[in-house]
Amino acid sequence: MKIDDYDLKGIPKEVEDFFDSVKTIFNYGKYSHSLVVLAPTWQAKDGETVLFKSGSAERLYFFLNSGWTAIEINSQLIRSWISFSGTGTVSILDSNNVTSVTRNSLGDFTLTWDVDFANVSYAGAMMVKDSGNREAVIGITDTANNPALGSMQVWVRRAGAVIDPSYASILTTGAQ
Amino acid sequence: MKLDDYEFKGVPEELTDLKDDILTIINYGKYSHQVVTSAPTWTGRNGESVFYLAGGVTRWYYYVNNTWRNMEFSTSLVSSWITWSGTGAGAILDSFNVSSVTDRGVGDFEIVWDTDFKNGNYACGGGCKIASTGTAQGVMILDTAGNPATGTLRVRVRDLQINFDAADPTRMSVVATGDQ
Repeated sequence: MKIDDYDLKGIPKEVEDFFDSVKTIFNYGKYSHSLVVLAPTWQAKDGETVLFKSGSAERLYFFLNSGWTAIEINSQLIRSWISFSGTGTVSILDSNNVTSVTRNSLGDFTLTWDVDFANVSYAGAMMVKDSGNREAVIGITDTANNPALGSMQVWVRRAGAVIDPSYASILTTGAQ
Repeated sequence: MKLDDYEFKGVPEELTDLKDDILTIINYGKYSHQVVTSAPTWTGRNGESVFYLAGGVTRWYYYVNNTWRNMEFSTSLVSSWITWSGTGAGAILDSFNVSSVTDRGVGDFEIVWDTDFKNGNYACGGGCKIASTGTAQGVMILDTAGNPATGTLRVRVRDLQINFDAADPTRMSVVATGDQ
């Protein structure tokens, strides 16, 4: 709902200016959440929200059902994900926060993130399609400085062979 | 944007009180979203948002591009994750909602969640570092009774390329999501 542009007459200019400001805030989305450095403990009204920022922790607190609950923004969001095909010309099937995937050599790929991570200890979950009815895995290449803030190099293997997967998927989460 | 504290003069007291209430709501972040118990179906204005709470399900609905969309807190977010090392004494490198990880033998680890899941049907996935060109390690859910449990997840690491041998990689990760 938006506030109509009432033509207020016969009121002091301060009142008119105040309600112009109120109208700007409501009609143009200029409302600011309260920003706290300690977790809220006060009794609020259901639906109240506050932002929390302390160190690297960022949370959105919301008061529902007579209690405060929080979403940990740096820990509970999928930061990047990709499904890609490594056979023939490598191609991204779908992705979020991935700028490119490069085939370095057979079974060797580098993913480049769009927005970098804040540290290199982010978590990744990954799977590939089996190859020729034989078990296959995708894993992080054990090379220096991998994963990096802005990229991750991965290898794809199956028993007895290095392969290019027809389908591979990776999702990551961590602080950005 | 914050409101200036205008000094109203020559107006009814109720108007000054109304001004004070509005100023408190806006300047101190006291605006409360509407809370509904059934999904919104009305035509909103783009940018409108409401909280939904029914039967233990919590969602945040927002109206964008003439459509109500929502994020469900118990199912749309990552519930827990961990990155840890299996070499030497082992160590948690970073994590969320994990209280500990125990080394139960080569390639055998038990993760203990901080807040339990509501049931053992949560989704999880993982990965690890592949040590060299001649190996192919992967993280798997251990096939033992009651695993995954609401409070723990036991995983094993095996090498597909070397006789499915157990391995302790330098780096492993698991991500899990589900009702808590």
